[in-house]
Amino acid sequence: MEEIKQDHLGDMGLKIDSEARQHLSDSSKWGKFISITVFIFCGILLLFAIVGSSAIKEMLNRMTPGNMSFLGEYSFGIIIGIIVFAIVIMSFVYYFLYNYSVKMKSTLLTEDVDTFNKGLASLKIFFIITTILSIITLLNSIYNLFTL
Amino acid sequence: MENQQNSIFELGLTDEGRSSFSSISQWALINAIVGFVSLGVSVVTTVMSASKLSRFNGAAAGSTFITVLITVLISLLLNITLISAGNQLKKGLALSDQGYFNTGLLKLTTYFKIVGILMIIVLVIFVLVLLVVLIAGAGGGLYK
Repeated sequence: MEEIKQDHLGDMGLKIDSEARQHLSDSSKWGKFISITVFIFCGILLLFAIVGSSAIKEMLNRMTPGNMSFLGEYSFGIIIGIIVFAIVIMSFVYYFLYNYSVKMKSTLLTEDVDTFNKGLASLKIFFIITTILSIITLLNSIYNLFTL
Repeated sequence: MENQQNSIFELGLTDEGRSSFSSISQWALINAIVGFVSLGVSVVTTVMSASKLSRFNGAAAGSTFITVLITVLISLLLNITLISAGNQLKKGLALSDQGYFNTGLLKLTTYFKIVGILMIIVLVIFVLVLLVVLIAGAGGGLYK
């Protein structure tokens, strides 16, 4: 079984050599740092949204009475809902980067191919979601450009 | 000794891993291209807004120009690195070339490093702003 696996890997021509291993280790460290920083930012944002909810309400009433009038009395709840939704989305996206980092670190220690593949799958999902979000942002920017 | 050799040389790419790397390279390329287009659209939008703003406030238009310049530089650096990572990984997988593959991984790591360093800068600015707000708040309290 082991021989078959080795032959199969040999056919592919690519392996995780010491250089690739070093790059994966570095990327997992930075990925972990980025994802944990985003989680902390999300926590702080959530804290500000809860603690500063009355300030947000006051600011909304003062700054945008006309713009928010279509939302009626629910404008405050909708704004808080949007903030919480954004926090959930951000945490969800960066969870995949965190997962990649943890799994890659574990792979480099244990040599487990399954964990390695799961880590790569997480990184793939991370790139897919960030690309979709970038496309949504781009469409919004194009809309803003034509309504300017 | 054998164990040591295993731990350094034997982790190879399976079909699943190869497919994941292929998807990662494709999505990284798409992400970078979308990033370039977004940058272009943002620059046009900002220039149009700034030209309107400059009629009323020249200083504000100047600061907008500096902000745009910094954003353009950062975005170019990030997207060029990501596009390079995607291309090198794609070439490495297509040609089964270890050199291209490793360079692709290096570029991907560089991309994460740049994002991480930017986050450190944002964190520092955030802490400084928080300190200024707290000091200003304490100062305001003293004057009362």
